[in-house]
Amino acid sequence: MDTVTKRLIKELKNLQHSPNEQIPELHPISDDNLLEWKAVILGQEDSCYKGGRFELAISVPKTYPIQPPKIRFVTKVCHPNVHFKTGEICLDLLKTEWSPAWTLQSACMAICLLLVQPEPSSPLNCDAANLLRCGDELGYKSLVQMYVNMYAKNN
Amino acid sequence: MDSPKSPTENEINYGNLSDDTIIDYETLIKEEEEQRPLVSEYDDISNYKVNYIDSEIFSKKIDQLKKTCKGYRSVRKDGNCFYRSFSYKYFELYNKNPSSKWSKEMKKIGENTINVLTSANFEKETIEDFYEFFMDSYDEKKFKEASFTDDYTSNGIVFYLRLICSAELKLNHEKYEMFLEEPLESFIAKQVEPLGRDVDNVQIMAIVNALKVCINIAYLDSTDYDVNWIKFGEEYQKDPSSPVINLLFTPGHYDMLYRDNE
Repeated sequence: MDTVTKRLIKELKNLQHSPNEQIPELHPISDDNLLEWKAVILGQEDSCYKGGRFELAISVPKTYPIQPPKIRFVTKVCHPNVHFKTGEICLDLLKTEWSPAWTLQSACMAICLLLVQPEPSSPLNCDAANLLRCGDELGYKSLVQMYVNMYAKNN
Repeated sequence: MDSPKSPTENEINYGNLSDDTIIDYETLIKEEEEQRPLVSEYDDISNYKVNYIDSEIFSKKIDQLKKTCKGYRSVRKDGNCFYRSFSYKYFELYNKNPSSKWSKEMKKIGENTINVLTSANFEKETIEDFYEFFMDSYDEKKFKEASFTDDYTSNGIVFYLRLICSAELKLNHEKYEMFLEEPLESFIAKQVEPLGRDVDNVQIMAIVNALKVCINIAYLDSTDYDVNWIKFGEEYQKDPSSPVINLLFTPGHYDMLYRDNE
């Protein structure tokens, strides 16, 4: 068995033992391909993302975990560090700061955290980032909630 | 009509390079570097070349090195050069004489690293594959295979050393914190655990203390002084004949160095 398969099976077993409430779904899309995963993360209750269910597509390279997984939002989300059209995520952890000690679950948890701790200084969505940079917290929150209601509920 | 010509060296205005040009250039250098082997064959020290150090000063320093050193091995310039050079020499020295007192002690310390790492809160499941790569390298055949031909395993060993370094920094933070300009946790997350991040003296000290080895580094820079040698972990060299890991530093890069007595 190659290293990536061995590692992913281990992660899968671990997930069954210790699921995370914020990540109700995290599994391979089909039984015969361990390299493509689907995840669902929930917006935190005390944030403007509350009530939202966000689907993520995870593509695991054959060189995982030396190389990071590719993760993008499938559900449309309004966030300074997520590309509105492609779902691309700008998070150092998934690029230059990836470490093989991370797992798919901990990477998803980091994305949950990114939702409530945006980095408006390195934006992929300038409209959302500009609201924060101008200090328009209220405008930002209502824009985010509008998109949560449009795309991330009952999906 | 004039046909477009490529700019000569003098016509390029380096101050006006666009971000895209710089990024393209960096990508090109990176791609070229990726074509090079992870670890090169052993070569005579007089063939060691660095293209950006003034040649007169450089050849003077190589002459100085020649007095006590016979050869070198270079490693790929991918930000992992210290860890890769170190691990190669470490396992090479071990495999030279696995039944020596030093080698036995090294293997014992190596075996225990998994316990050290779990006590520093690493999850066993996520690190045990890399521990296996590391332990396999105490076997000469597997170590050579991994170092020369298998990027994945070689990077796995580099990563495992990064974790050993990280665990040592966490468990004995009081020794290292005074050397850091940022909180230990973010230093580890940004500068130690991700692959491709260069080392500072702090990481070298942590590796030395964690594995109880002595590292001797020859610094070859463009200053007009003699070659400077710095020993890390001299206290671990119990007698003058016990093995030392000799490395060669040129600005931004580590290679392996072989002294006459090796």
